[in-house]
Amino acid sequence: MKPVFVIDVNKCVGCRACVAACIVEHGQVFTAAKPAGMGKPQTVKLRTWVEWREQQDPPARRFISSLCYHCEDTPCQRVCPTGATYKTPEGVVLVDKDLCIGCGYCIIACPYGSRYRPEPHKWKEAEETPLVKDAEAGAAYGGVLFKPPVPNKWAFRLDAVDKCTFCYHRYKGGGKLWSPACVEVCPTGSRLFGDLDDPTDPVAELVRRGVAKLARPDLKTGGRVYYVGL
Amino acid sequence: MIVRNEVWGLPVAVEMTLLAIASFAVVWAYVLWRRGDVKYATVGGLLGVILPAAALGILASELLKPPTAGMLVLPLFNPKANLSSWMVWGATGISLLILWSLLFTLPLIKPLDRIAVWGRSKAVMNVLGLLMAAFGIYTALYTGLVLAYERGIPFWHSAAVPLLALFMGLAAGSGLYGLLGKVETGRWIAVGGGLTALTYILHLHLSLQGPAAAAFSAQGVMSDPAALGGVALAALAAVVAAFGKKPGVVAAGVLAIVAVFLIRASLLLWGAWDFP
Repeated sequence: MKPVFVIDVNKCVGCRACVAACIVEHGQVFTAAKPAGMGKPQTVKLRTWVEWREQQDPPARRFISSLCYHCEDTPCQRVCPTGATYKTPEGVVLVDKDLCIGCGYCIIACPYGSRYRPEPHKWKEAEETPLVKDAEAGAAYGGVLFKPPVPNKWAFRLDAVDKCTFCYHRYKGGGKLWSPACVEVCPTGSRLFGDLDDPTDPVAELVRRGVAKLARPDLKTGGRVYYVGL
Repeated sequence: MIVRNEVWGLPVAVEMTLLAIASFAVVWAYVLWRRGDVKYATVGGLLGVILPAAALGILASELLKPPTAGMLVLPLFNPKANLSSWMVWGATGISLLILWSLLFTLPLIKPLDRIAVWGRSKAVMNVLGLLMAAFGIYTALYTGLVLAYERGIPFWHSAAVPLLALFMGLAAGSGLYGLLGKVETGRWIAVGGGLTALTYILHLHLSLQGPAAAAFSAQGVMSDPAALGGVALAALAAVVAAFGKKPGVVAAGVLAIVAVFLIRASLLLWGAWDFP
């Protein structure tokens, strides 16, 4: 099985439901909230993001999703001094959170900005933002904005570099395709997940027909994330 | 979307400046020992121990898991180390630089020479000195190679960066001995400072014609007074040192070390990605 991710930019409406789903699934904490029992927000960066890009002529707004490209030729894996970054047989690039020492070399090497590390010096700054203060008030109403992560060994941790895993913890084995959390919640079908090894897969067909393309083929890293309409 | 580097910031610039000073200070230590100047050779040898150890300490403090910092000592011999990572080879080189410097310097210190018996053999000291100098030069090069090897940040992905690192090592290491009043280092401060300024200017020129992110970085450096000050100080150090008078060499030593820090900091802080 060769999982492939296709993002149809023409269908994205910028609602960022995918971002919220990812946060919930992996226990990342947006600046708007903080985990129960901890006084500090954990991070101000995320595994996936939808950027709103303004276009001047003609005036328009486009929504560009980004996540780890799960490259074929993987710079982050090559530079990792401890071997914490590795690739599964399916080609998904993951981080062994126990082995990662958080040196940041993989973040420097990644040309797509797909990795980040929790920066403790940014907590203070994040704590001062109005959204975090609002979250405290929200908690007083008994409302829980973000749940703890679905337990898995690739979930967000404070002491390791973090990145998209294609929700690999949902893979049950046996070559059966799974569905990442962001794909599941996308209301317009802009985010699609398929299997390149399955000749009947309609998502893989977009890649095979050349409708979906890599964002930066010039970097020659390959990858498993393709765009329609970028 | 062009985004400036915030991952490796000022602490890494300090760490790499310390390594630059140590890299050629040990070369001078060996040269001076060969000339019979044991006092100054001891200073360089000690710096070959202290500065790289401090650099590893800074690197360790920047990690997300500080207790695992032990992995940075001779990581090449760690079975889990990834040998395709420059950081493994670099940290191993730095560890060995500390080891060779320690073995070279211990016999030069009076009360310790009774224990460090290998110092009685000139052949052994020559081998240790050569190893120390070779690993010093390697350490200088490594601080460039670690940045230049991958394509993530186009401003760093250039053959000029390792060369720049080598010349910064020559300028800073010689600059330290200049600062201590060793007049014979003057011409090497001049060579190191001059080549550092020229290489950085050439690198900026090439970056301006390169990918968008590299051009962004080069434009940023050229509008940054601290970065331009670094280049100017390196050139000034070269000019002042070339006269060969003691006060000039001392001043050039200070200028060269400050210049190396400013250039290194600008190289790191103006690094930028061009994200899709």
